[in-house]
Amino acid sequence: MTDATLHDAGLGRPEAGFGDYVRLLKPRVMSLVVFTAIAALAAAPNALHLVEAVAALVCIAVGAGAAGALNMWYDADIDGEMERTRKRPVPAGQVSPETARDLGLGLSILSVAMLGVVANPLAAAMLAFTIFFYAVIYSMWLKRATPQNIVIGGAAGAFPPVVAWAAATGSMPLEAWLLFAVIFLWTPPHFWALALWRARDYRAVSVPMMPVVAGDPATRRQILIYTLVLTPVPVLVAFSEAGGPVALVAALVMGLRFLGDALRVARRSAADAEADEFGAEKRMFGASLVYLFALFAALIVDAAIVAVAGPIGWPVWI
Amino acid sequence: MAQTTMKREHALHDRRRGQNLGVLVVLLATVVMLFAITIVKLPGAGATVGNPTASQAGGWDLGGALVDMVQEEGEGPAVHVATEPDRGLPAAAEGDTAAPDPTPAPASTATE
Repeated sequence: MTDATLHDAGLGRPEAGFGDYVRLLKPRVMSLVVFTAIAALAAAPNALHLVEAVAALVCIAVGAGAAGALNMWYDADIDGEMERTRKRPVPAGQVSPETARDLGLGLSILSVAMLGVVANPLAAAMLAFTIFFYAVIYSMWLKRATPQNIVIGGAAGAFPPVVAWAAATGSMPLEAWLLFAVIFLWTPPHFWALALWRARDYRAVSVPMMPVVAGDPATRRQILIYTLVLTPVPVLVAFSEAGGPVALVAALVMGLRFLGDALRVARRSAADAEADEFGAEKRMFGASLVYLFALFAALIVDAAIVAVAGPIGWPVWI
Repeated sequence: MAQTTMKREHALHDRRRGQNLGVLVVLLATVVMLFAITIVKLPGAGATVGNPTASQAGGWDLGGALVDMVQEEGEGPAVHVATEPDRGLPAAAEGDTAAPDPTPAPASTATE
């Protein structure tokens, strides 16, 4: 007896396990959100009490998960058609779209209200805006409307450090927006590297990702341009209140490596990529995750050095 | 067929047990987090425990009001005295406040 016959017999969808609800919150995206938020909390000058910091992180993580659930609810139709996403809980039939929507809305309200209590109204407002941006601006509008979907929608993934900074200090200074800029500029090359080898999927469901609309060579050029613009921004972060010497080393070493990956991808043709099954693009996608992780880990290390050794006389230009 | 049904129900129960345990863990974690936040956000050792609104608004404001009242009462005679120097009252008033009352001295002499 297969799932299909179970459905046909009117026995309903297979019952979801707890793990299916967790998958609905996109735990991998959540982990990146939490990590960048931890770095912002560490780098921000006004340290929260540990309990408040953990609670704020939980709120930010739950808010990100709520946005993910809303995204899965809205995108269930196209997720079921794409190889990468067809095993998600909603298209796989483990969780109903309505349940995903209700869970997303419920967790959104809960996380925003809790962050307001734990931290401050500014952080709560920013978290609410982040969820709205991802669920409505990106998922419902931009994703199916323009090849710039990832560029503008990338802001949703870039807000968490700003939310965390607001939670710690009650303000959003330039340093917080520099962290935003790093993730905002990192998102297009990161995602387009993936989109290059998933272009068929996006074409099949008429989602206007850059490789589908502008073609393979133009996407490779765009990846290089965005990486070139991105590379100096972490250096600026290193010379801000949020940075330090470790952040500078990470910005230079990882930045040059990432630029090398982008150059390699930009020089290849679609035929080269097909020949080695998008080896360089897959490598760049993985390297982009390591790059972002290293940059934000460096901020945590710098903050730890200052916490242990006191001020180190690092020049702050910003 | 009966065996298949039993198997399916067993799997269903397992999944539901897992779901319930998951919800339990999440709820317990939430309770612990809320309790910890409450403890952390309680006022420090110097503050009044019980009704923080009363201790802050009532206490501080009442204290401030009392200080104002005392100051106003103290300033009253000084203003009055300063405006009537020809009646000899300033010296008496200054003497009352600046120097101690000399009457105890004879009393102490008497005890000798």
